[in-house]
Amino acid sequence: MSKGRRHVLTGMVALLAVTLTLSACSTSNTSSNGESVSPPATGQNNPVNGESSAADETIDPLGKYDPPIDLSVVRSTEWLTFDDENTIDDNIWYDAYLRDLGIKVSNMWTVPSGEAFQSKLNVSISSNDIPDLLSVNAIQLKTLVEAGMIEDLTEIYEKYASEDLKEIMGQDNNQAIHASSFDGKMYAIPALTPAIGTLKMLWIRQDWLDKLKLQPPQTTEEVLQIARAFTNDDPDGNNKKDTYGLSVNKDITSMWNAPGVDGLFQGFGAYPGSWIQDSSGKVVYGSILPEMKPALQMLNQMYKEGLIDKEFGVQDSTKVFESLNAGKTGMFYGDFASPIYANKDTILNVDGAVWNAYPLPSVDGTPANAYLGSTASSFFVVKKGYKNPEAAVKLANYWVHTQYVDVDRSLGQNAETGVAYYPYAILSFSPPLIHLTQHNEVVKALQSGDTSTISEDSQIKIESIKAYRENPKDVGGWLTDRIFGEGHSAMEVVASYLDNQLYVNNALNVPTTPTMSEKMSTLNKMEITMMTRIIMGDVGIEEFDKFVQDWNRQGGEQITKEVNEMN
Amino acid sequence: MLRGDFDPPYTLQEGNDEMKSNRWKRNLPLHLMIIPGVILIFLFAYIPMGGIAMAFQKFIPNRGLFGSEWVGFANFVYMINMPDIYDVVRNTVLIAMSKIVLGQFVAIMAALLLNEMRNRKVVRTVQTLIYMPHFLSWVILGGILVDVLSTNGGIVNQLLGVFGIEPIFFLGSNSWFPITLIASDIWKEFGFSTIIYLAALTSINPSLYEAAYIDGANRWKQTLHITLPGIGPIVVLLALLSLGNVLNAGFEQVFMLYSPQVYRSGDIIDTMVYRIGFQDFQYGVSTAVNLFKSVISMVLILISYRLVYKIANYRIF
Amino acid sequence: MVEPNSLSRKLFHAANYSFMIALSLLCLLPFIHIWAISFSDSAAVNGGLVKLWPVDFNLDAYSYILGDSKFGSAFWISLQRTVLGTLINVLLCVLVAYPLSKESTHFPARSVYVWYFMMTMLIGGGLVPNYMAIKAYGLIDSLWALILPGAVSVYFIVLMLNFFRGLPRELEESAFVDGAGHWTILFKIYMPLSLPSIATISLFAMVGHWNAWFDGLLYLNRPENYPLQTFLQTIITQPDMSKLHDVSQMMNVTTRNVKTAQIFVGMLPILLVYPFLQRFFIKGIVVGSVKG
Repeated sequence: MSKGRRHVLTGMVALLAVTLTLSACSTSNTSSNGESVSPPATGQNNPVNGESSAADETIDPLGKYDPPIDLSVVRSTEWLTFDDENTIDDNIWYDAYLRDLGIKVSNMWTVPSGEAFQSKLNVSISSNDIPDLLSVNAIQLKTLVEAGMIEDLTEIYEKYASEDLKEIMGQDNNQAIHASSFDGKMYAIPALTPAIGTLKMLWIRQDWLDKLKLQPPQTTEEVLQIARAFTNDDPDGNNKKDTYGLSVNKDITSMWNAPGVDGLFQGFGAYPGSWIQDSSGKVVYGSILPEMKPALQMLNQMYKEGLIDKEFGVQDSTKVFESLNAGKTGMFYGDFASPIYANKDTILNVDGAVWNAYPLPSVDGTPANAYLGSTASSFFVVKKGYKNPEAAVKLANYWVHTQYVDVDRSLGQNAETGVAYYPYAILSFSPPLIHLTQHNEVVKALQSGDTSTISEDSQIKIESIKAYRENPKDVGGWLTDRIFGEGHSAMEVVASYLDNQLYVNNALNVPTTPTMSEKMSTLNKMEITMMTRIIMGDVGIEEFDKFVQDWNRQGGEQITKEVNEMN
Repeated sequence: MLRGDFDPPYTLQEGNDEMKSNRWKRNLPLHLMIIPGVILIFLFAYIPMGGIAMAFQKFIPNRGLFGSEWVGFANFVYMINMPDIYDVVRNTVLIAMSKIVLGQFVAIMAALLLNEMRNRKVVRTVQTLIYMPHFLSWVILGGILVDVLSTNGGIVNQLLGVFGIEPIFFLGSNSWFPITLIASDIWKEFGFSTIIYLAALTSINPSLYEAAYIDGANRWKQTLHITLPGIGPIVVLLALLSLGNVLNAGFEQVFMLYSPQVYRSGDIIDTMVYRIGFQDFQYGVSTAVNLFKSVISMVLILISYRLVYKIANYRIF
Repeated sequence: MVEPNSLSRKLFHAANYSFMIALSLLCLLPFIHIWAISFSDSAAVNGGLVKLWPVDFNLDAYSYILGDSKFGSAFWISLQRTVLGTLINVLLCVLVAYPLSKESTHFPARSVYVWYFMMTMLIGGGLVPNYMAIKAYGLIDSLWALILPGAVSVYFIVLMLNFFRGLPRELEESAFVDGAGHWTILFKIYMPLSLPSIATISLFAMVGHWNAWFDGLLYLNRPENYPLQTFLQTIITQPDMSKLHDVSQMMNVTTRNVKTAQIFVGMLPILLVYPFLQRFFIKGIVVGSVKG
């Protein structure tokens, strides 16, 4: 699994805010909410919402099966913690499924790590040995659909999904459902993911800025100047020229994690590696647009001046993070969770290190539009021939019901030990607004001192931040503070993007196209080679135009055509 | 002393019926000995071998091998039409062959040198130590190598600097990258072959050396005329067996160490197939590639087998 | 054996020893580096600050691995697999190599057998067909899935048969004259004389079994059944945040100090066994026991 994919972030999208912004930005060719999705393309005017024929009258979205039915699944226990009463095979959620829904869940196999899960899943699919319900990615989904190995859920979803589920699923303008559908038929229940994980921001060593008496950057030119100062003006005060301005790794861009400099490109209005809509409404591939040029030139300038490590081309992200954590580099483009996986050890290794998050500086100082990725990165599918495919929908209903509608705290976490139970659920998706709400609650409470009205989770976060304020080496508290707290925290930047609609959406709604499957890997190789060579100065900027021609000729044009047709 | 396989005159007269049935009775144990192996190989190697059919199919998991559509050589054609296929194959062959040839050379030298050492404790320690890098994974070694080979403070370049040599960008230069791959892989794996050669060396009859010494041969001559011919068959054998790897340039290593800068000289067949796998989940292409590799190795091994037989009258197996 | 004690000889020895020792040190250095990492604090490791000595010494990495309840059972499973697997490997190797080492004039069926085995070295079915076969035989989740597929190693067989061929034919002939059959010849005569090769092959088989981890992942459905290396490989968690709900859970990301501790824990048993096997590589094992 590529390193980029590993950092797909989860769980905390302001789906509501996304709805608002997406409906403002996107074009009109998608329906506005899930409730009036038209019936399957059978031509029949089948009344699906509420009015049903006599036989359907008793469909209960949470109806229990009696006698109970069996359902086999496969699980990864990565990130899951257990206690004395709960194991992956026998836990409070599986009991609840049996008790409330009459579904007896059994694990066909389990693995402790996510990478292992992918390997084993691929072999399972290829050897036709899949469980009744499983979670797959977009490419696997397409394979299963083409092979006819999974059930068509269109009607089932219509009939069995609860109103609450449909509402949540529709909040992104049905993009996720669209991504789960082929030829108008819905083959999966999407696991809604927070796209905010893809929102880039600029993380800077504030203490270096202060020492050198510099202001945070608002334009890309200022980023360049700051990088110069960080490299040449000894910001760490050790009288050695051993620091760098900006982190770059050999992948250059990465949609899901740091230190890809996608954010730098986005400041110029360029979106490498992403499919976006241009002004005419056509879907195009960001890497071939002219806005890429000034960005590449800036990177080349930085390389020439030694503001980025001359060996960036052979360094992977781990190596680059080392430089950050050793206090040797002062800026990087990351996302809201970067403190966790990228630079949390800086405060332990370097006294007085302060990291602040800032919105993307743009080429002209006006607020830049960050790229917002897809809302569905994994999909729940049902094996073809399974007798009760609607069980999957019921599981989804159950999740929505117990987590948001009629909250059952006993299924959330153990109040005393803090062991999280909700990950045991097999069909779940990210809690929507929660983290943005928490951030707002946390900030308000920190400022007013009044914690009486906020949620339990937010209270825990406040405690964590307070602990950090007492002890600057408390990493857990530092994380919470830098993500949720005040004072240039990550969520502040996210909120500013969302509130002001500073977004460009992902415009690719299909997992892949025929030519994409064949040729994209070659085109990607061409792209990264071109970018590396331009940045390192091996070739001039004219190489970019040559790349665009080659890209189009060698399949890119065909792919673009197909994307627009199939989207 | 190891010998080649000649067809010597027999001490027994073969040919008449009584002898033949005797021979059958005598050889029955041989058949019995080999049967368990035959069965296990059938179950675990021949049955799965049917899977190579996937290389010629558009394989659909639930239709299996017998239900999936046959596409002839389409998968192979797809690979051949990849734009950089020439570079990629060239890289694979160059890197793999160099690793095999140079690797054996280093292992033989090491075995010879070790064989000269009298101090058993030192020999045993050295033997253990040179085998140890085998246990490191490229995931870990990758990170170490980036540090060690860095042009900015890396040990190797610092050492070169002592001799007045300019820093070399080992991992980032198309001229040096293959050399780096080969050298680091040999360092990691030569211990394995060295052990085999040492074992072969220890089975050389010591009396041969004594006789040679009495005849006035010095150590060098002894090495040339006794030691080397003594391990000759094993060298040829290992070389031939390693021909099976002629198109395996070392996926894990290349994957960890390569970068866009060195795609031109470092991208190998397996890394290209790996990248394709991200866009297209299809075992047909990778099976086709593996089959292609197997066919090439098979042809090479067969040719070498016959060559060795014709030249040295020695049957490897 | 008497050796001339000339100056050139002494120089050669000096150079030889220095060179080989330097080479060994080169092989040892990376281990010292990662050993230092395994005993260091993760923050220092993440900053790339650890060179050849632990920084902020702590045992977190080791306690994480050894403290996991599954460690003990995984270790035991690996032990079983390695011992059983190696024994079966070596036994089958010897049983197949012996007949194949005979000449075609004495054992005509040999050529057929040889091609039968060699073919499998040249062509393989691939990951998925192997999985399907193991599944069809009902071996999923069983220790035998780790032992049987690799039980016959053609590579080892070819090595072994060459060693057998190197033994003087007079041994076999005089044994026949004495009335012995092939079983006796193999086990009472050939094997004792082939100890260096048997030791070599045992070592490689052992290392192969001990280090194998992917087959455990593929063929076993429950982490409780994992052998050690599979367990070690999978305790390393990567931040796959698509499955994550709570930010604070991410504090448990595994860092390099655990990954390196994993290497040592995995390597240690082999390194302990290795010296014992080395004794069999000693020069001068009884060869030439044929009376003239």
